Amino acid sequence: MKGTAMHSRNTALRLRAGAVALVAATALALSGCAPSGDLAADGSNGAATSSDTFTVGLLTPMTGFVAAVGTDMQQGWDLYWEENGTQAGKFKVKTVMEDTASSADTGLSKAQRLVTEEHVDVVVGPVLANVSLAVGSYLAKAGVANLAQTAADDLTQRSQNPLVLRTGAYAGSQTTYPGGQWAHDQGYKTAATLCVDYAFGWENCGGFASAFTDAGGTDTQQYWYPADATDMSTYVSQLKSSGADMAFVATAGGPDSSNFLRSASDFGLLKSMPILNNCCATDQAILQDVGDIAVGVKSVHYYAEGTDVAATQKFVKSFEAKYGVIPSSYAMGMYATADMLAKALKDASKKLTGTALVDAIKALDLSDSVYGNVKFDEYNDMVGPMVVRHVEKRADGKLWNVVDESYDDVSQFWSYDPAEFLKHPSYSQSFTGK
Amino acid sequence: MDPIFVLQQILNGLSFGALLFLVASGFTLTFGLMQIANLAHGAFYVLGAYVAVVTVTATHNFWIGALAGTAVAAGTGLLTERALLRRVRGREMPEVLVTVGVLIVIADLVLAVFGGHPRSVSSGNGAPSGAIVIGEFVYPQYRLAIIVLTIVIAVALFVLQKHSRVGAIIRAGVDNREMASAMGINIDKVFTAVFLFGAALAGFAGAIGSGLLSLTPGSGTDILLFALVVVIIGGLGSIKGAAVGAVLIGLIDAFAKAWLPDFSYFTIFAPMALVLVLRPNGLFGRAA
Amino acid sequence: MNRATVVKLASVSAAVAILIALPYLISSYYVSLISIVFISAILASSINMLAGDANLVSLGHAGIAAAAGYGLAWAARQGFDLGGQLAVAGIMTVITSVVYGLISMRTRGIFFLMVTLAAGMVCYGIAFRWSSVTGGDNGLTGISRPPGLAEYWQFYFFVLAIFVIVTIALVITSRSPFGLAMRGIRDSETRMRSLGYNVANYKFVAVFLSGVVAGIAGVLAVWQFEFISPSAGGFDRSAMVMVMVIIGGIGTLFGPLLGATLVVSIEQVLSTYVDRWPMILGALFIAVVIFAPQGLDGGIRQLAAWFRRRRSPKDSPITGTSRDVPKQSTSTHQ
Repeated sequence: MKGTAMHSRNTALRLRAGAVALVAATALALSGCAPSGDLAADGSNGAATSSDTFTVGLLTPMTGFVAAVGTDMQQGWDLYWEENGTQAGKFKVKTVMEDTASSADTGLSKAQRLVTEEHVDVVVGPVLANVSLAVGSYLAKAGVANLAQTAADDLTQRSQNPLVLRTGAYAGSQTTYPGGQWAHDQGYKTAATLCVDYAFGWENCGGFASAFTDAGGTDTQQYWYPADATDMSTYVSQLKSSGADMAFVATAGGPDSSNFLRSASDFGLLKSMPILNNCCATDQAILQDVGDIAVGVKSVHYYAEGTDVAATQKFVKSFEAKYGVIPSSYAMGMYATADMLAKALKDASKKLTGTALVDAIKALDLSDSVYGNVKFDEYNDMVGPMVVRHVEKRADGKLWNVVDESYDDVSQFWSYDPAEFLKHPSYSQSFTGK
Repeated sequence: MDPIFVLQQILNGLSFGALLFLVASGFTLTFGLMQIANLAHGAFYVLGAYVAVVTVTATHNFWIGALAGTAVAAGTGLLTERALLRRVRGREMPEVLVTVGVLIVIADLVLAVFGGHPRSVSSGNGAPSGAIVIGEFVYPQYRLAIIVLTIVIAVALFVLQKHSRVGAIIRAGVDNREMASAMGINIDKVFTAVFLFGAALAGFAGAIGSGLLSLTPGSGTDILLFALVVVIIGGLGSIKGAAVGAVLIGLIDAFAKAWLPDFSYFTIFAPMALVLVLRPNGLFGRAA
Repeated sequence: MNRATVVKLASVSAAVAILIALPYLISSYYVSLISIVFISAILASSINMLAGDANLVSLGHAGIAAAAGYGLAWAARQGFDLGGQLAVAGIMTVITSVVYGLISMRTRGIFFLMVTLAAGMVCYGIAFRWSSVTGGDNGLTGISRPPGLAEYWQFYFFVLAIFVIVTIALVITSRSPFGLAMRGIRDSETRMRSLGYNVANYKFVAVFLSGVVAGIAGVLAVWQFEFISPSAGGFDRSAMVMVMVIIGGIGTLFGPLLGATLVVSIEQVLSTYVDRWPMILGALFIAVVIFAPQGLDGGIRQLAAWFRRRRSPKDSPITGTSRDVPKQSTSTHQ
């Protein structure tokens, strides 16, 4: 009995070993024979879509931890096409939405699907920096244009490529340079900074610190907190005992932002120390969450819901009428992107894809956009207005941001020479300016 | 070293630790009494928290919100036990796996129903709010209240487990089902009650936590990790262990964030690893 | 060589032939998806080996895969050559597997599960927080595949080959005296101890070996996506992989592959049409655990056996080696 069992086991093993060899050999042999790949093309392989339909692939996080942002983005996008119809010049704009699940792996797979299965003419989104960087390099290989919605600096700096146009946001450090200038102009000599500890926070802090120190201030203390921190009370205490004239705080717009505001309120920091925030602690989602403790809180951003810029006001009113809530900057970015796309297609005689699309958008007159007066620089980022704002309670009880100071024509390079600036490393914990 | 800062950190650590204890105690109780590692505990926490937030927003009363959160969590626990766990009773791995499945389902359900925006309970609404101010020292009353409340609950749980008749019945049921049944105790009812109680504790912890930290659908797994570390250090089944573990982790977390921000996960991992290597059953646990 | 073995061999060869022909039949998107399935199946196999032979279900193995992946990605970003990158990935795999082994070797059952869960989440936390090295939430991008594997179909063949090799290696390990000892430990630790086996050491080695397989999966994943981010090691990933193992059938030969196919299909394909796919997956998982503990693999075998019984009632369905009979976790384990 034992002999038979051994014998059949040996045979089985031998057969299996043979199978491995076969597979390996075949694989090696086949590595010489490429299939008729469809990956490299610009998506127009085989069953091309009708030349009168312009297909947009929309990548948003509809599930996962930033699902709320995904909803905002989708609403902003939809609003534009509802107001203006989906006909842009000769083309009917069709949108295909895919969920990135707030994950870079899924985002990449969905981007692939959009290109090879849906044959999209452009990809709009995603919003998360890690997803964006991964998707961006794939799209560059596939030759498909990407209208980016994320703030990652390098997308239009060190990793810049002619197929990526940042239409849905400003670069991370770009949004905080004016804050540094403002802080100095207010008379503050020293500042302590608290920023979320990954690229977004590094860029925000880098922007503020550079501009502040250039103007003559001193950045005395730099605190970094992990993006998934559940309890911000430690950092609030640190800011309190720092002894600086003011604090600059860059949160990521998630629970960290609401936690910070509430801890700061609980510990009396909001009253005892001047604080300037980045976009996110006073974004609509956070304001709706924390409520009245946010009244009076100052921040620096390119968007203020209570602004008196006509085009922005119109957008805010329209969004509120349709959805019942004041739009966040994510919704605004998508609306603006839709607007740019529609305008570029309106006068086009043939379908614009790839770099042709990017160039057409860059050539548009955007002096009256939802952002205000913007134009694109040669690195495919916008140069435009920014504001320092504070939170106010409207007559109907809702909170929004109104403008204190405006800064025009803010560029992602601030006052630096682009070529010189790019020689420096990206902003990080160890490098926040000089 | 600023003494006020240190004192604030200690209190931060204790208040976070208090929340951890509330979460961990429900978990360790369910395990100690029923030998079930309920990984859906995190889901009950987050469910209770969201229900609490929504209720408080509607009623402007924190305690009603807390009650609602606790009740819904308990109800979900009841459903889970009756409909699902009962079918795999006694088989340790399937029991745990079922709870993982429940965790996945509830996490997605919470996202679907409540959306992904961060939520929290605004201060006031009947809960202690504002801060204690003693010279330069400022500390939120809510956090102090949590510490006090949790100490009371901890003592109550400890007494319940060790000394009461209910505790004795439950221990008997776990040690020897047949005997307990033969003595007229309805074991099924007892087990359901214990599971329900654990879920209720999780829901209550969620309601409390919603006033402390902002809530997202992912908060369940976040807090679950901390609870697991606490329970591993303290020993499965031990309330005393959960208390010691919670205080330890809370304090470590508070100070690590301030002094070693890059390594704050290491600093939680280190005591857990140490305990696992030196005393695998935890500080106060008994061999399973 | 009896008829059953011939049938089995023929079907496996047919399947392999189809798999090899796939890139010539379907689009790159689907080929990529299948690569992802195989990579996940490799990771699932690492858990499957521990779960089946040792009844140690890990909820944290994605952490080991992520550690290996980060090692490779970091080395690539530093400019190391391929050998150097693989060396760093290897070192990370070893270190992480050793740590996992050390903290879990004296545990079993649900305690093992909890410990590996915690370990996995700590890996995630480190990847997330040590952002100066790991890039934090952004992860590390721009990792290119080794030369010769750059195209999606080349990489696909490579992954396929690795999967076959790993599966065979795991089968050999399982049938070795080591595997036998592990099953003995699974059935009764005290008995094995009284026979003189150092149970903790055996468990350590088992965890270490499974960690090596997980590390391989981690490296392949980085090459597939050309980046890595903390979610590669997070609880969601570990849970998903464990779900693959359970749905596929614990301890079975094809369980990991079947489970991976189902889960990846739901995650990547169903998600296009259905928003609430995690709920569906969770419900399916619960159903399998309660009603069909032998999973897909076991289910298919039962179906096949039922077919055979219908065609020739005299043949007993119990053929093949003991390795192939689906195992159920019974209640009396300590």
